[in-house]
Amino acid sequence: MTKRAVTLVEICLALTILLIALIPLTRISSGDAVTVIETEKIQMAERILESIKAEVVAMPFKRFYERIDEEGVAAEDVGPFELSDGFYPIALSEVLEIQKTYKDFAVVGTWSFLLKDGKPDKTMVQTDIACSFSRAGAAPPVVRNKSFLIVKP
Amino acid sequence: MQQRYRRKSGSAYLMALGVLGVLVLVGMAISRMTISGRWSTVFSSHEKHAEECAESAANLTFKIVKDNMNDYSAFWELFSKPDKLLRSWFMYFRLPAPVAGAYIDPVSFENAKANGIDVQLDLFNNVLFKPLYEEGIVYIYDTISVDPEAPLSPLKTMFDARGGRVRVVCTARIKKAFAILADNPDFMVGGVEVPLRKVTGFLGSIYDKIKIGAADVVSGINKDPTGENSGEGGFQIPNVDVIKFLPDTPLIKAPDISGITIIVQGVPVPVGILLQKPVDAIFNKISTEFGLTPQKIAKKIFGDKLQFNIDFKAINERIESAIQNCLPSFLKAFAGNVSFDVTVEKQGFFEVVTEVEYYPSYPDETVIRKKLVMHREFRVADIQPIASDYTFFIANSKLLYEKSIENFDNWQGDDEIKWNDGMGTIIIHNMPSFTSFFEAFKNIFSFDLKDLFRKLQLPGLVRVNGTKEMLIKLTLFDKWPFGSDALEVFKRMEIVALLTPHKSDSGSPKTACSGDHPSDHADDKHNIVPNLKSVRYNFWDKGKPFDWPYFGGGDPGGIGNYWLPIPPRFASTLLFGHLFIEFPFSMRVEGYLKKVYTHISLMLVKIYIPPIPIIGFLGLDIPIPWFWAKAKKEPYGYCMFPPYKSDDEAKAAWNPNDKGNLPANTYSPTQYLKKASYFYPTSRDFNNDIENRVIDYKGKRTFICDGVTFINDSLWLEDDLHVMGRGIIVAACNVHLKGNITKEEFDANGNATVFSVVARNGSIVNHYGNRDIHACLFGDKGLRNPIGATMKVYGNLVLNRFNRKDCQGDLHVYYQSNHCRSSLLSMIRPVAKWDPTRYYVTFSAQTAYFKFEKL
Repeated sequence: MTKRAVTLVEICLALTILLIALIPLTRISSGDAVTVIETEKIQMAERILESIKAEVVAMPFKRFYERIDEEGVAAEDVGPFELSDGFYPIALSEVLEIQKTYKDFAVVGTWSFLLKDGKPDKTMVQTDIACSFSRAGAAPPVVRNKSFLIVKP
Repeated sequence: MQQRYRRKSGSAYLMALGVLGVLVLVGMAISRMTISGRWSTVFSSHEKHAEECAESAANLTFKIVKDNMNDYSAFWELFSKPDKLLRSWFMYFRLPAPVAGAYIDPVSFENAKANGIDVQLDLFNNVLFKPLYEEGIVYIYDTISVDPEAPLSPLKTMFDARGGRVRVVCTARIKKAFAILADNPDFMVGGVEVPLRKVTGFLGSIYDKIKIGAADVVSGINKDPTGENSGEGGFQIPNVDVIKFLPDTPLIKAPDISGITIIVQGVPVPVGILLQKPVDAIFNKISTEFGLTPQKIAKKIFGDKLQFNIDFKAINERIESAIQNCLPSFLKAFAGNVSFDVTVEKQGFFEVVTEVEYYPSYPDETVIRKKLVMHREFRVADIQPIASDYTFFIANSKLLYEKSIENFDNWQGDDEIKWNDGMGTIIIHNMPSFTSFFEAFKNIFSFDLKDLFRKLQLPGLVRVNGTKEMLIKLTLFDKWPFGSDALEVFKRMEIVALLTPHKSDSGSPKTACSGDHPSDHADDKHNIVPNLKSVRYNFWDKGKPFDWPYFGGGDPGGIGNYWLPIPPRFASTLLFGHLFIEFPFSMRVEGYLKKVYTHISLMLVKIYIPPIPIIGFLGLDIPIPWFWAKAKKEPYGYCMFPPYKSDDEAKAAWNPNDKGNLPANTYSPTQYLKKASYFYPTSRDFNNDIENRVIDYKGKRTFICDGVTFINDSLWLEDDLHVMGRGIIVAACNVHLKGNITKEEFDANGNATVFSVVARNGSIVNHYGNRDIHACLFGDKGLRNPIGATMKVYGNLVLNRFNRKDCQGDLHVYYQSNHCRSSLLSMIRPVAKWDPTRYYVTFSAQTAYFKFEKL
């Protein structure tokens, strides 16, 4: 009777408390993992947007004119026009590489001439790019945007 | 033992709670890290949006500046609004700025220039200009109070798409500027760093002076060798009646031989009376067929619209009144300053500072502030063509070399040019089109200021530097004018050079013509109509001599030789254009030049053989046609407007070692390099890049030449080039022409194309073919034109060295005044340097500095 020790009941009770407490912790942890992946995707999206920007800005400005000539666009039409893959071949390969891992990763973009005093000024192009990916469950997809101005040199 | 066991009671709970606590802490830490990472990503996204706004606004500001900095149209429209003009981007870049320190001690400073290192400009020296440089020009845009007229309003769609509120403030200004100086401190740019020599004659009242308020500001050094433009009695502005140069009387008429008798068998036979009729008939036939009067020939060449009266006084008054009204008042203080210590040309850094306030969840006050500083290099380069008021200029000077390596053969300049060596004909058309010339004069009072400055066609000048006498043979016919090309032969006839009298209407001429005069009288007129005199025995009789353009007779100063009416062969140089009536604006050449003509005496010298009655011989005259020709010389040009009073004056006046005699606006290779907007190491690089600088304009592939393009090589123009804009292509060595250069007369805004091609240390070389070159040309080592090739230059031609022998094909230079000058203002020497339109501003395509700075 004088020997006091940890009883089986105590151990069982302690383990039960521990297990109950671990459930939300595990949930937090798995939720964080999703957030980490999302954050990683966001960072990838930002990187991709930056790459596309660098590539489009470095491109000869006359490519915009060539593109509207090819498409037979009316002179007064300022856009938006699709920013097709051809505008950013290097960034595109990066996107394709990412898509091997994240199939939901998508890039779309448009470009348009700006209006100056209500008239098209074809020496300025506004480019808008969006990089998106889906989220778990019914959550709306994440969309990252980038807009920048390109001025004819 | 009991105590020990007691201490251990309940430890399982404690352990479980401890582990739980640790796990909770770890979990929370991980969670917080993830959330903060996520938040920082989201927040950085807003920051990025703010940065995007800043970058776009800065780029748009650069574009606004770029669109306006060369807007010549705006410049003309802003005359009436001096405050707006001063704050316009056009004027902002073209404000004069003192070279820092230069105004303190110009003499020591000049020699203290460090090689290759340019000196900073003192932008804050002028009270009026200081705020412009300090404060810059500010553009503001705010998405919640939209001003559709705001310069940054094109960004509305982009800013709106950000959500929230965006407020942008862009401040644009010149950050730093440097002078564009030559490496060699002794190198000077004529008309920009050193004043030019006074122009010859009455033209001084137009080109050398300007009235600022009540005072005359005069630029120009040394004396006018005619004495007219040196303050001695003021300027004499003629009202030239060209009809006096072009009489409607035949150049050739039948000689009067009616009095000639020949003794045959002791009986005087009136052969003259017998021959006079058939001779008259022949000459009448010639006269009718060819219309051999100067006036008729002129009409055949220049068309029926040829008018004869040029009122230089009216032209002078119109230009003077226009100039007075167009110099912006804040530039008037600089009039007359032609020195290196104040400059408009500059290079430096242009700064745009953009401050953005981005409220992502407006009206929530959370704001992200960003400050972006961007610099780009800019250049303000003088694109005024070299010696823009001259049709033809031979510098003949070693002073045009900046470094000794450029003058590799240690050429000393001051060559005596042999103007009739070689082959081919050089024709300098000082008026490109008589019709347009007279049309322009007719409209001189109806043109508004802008049109006057853009369209007025003025005749060009002709300059040949040198201290040695140079002779140019006048041309009559290089072959007889029969056949289908008779008109071409007549065009080259320079008999008009001998038609004007040596005496002006107003009495004795201001300047004596110091030549070999037919009768040793300075006011004598050349007789150009051939006549025949019959004398007996006297081969030394003066006869009834006449003067023709060079038609044999050896060299001036010689005894002459027997004259045969066969057109002599020599290479013609026609400095007064076709028929010698496309004269320079000053009515004279500037140079120690003399025209060579032939003084011809046609005599019938009769040798009488006395009678020998014993054989029934009663005496006989043996007529010997004694045609003697002697070459003579007198100052080049019209006798009424000689270019100098005496040979001594001429030797001193156009000395090529005088900096005032350098062709205006000739910059050193280093200066061209420094102010170049485009640099190409080789000609191949330039040719490869042409396609990138070409646009479609009015159905033509048009090369846009803006600012200075420097090719560190010889330039090979392999194909035709159609150009538009205001700029210069400078080749370090030769310019090889294998195609034509054509130009778009005016751009879409009505600005005339002003385009130059400079072979800075080489020659202009035409490659086997006829060429039309619409450009102002400079060739340091001259011009090479092969046999059989006809080269037509529409602009002007300036050469340093000139070997006439290298010009073997025909060369025409058609002066096009409005394509050789940026505006009329740039022709008026006291203010030429300050004409804002002669400078072209360019930005570098690269950003020199890009940094988001802390606020």
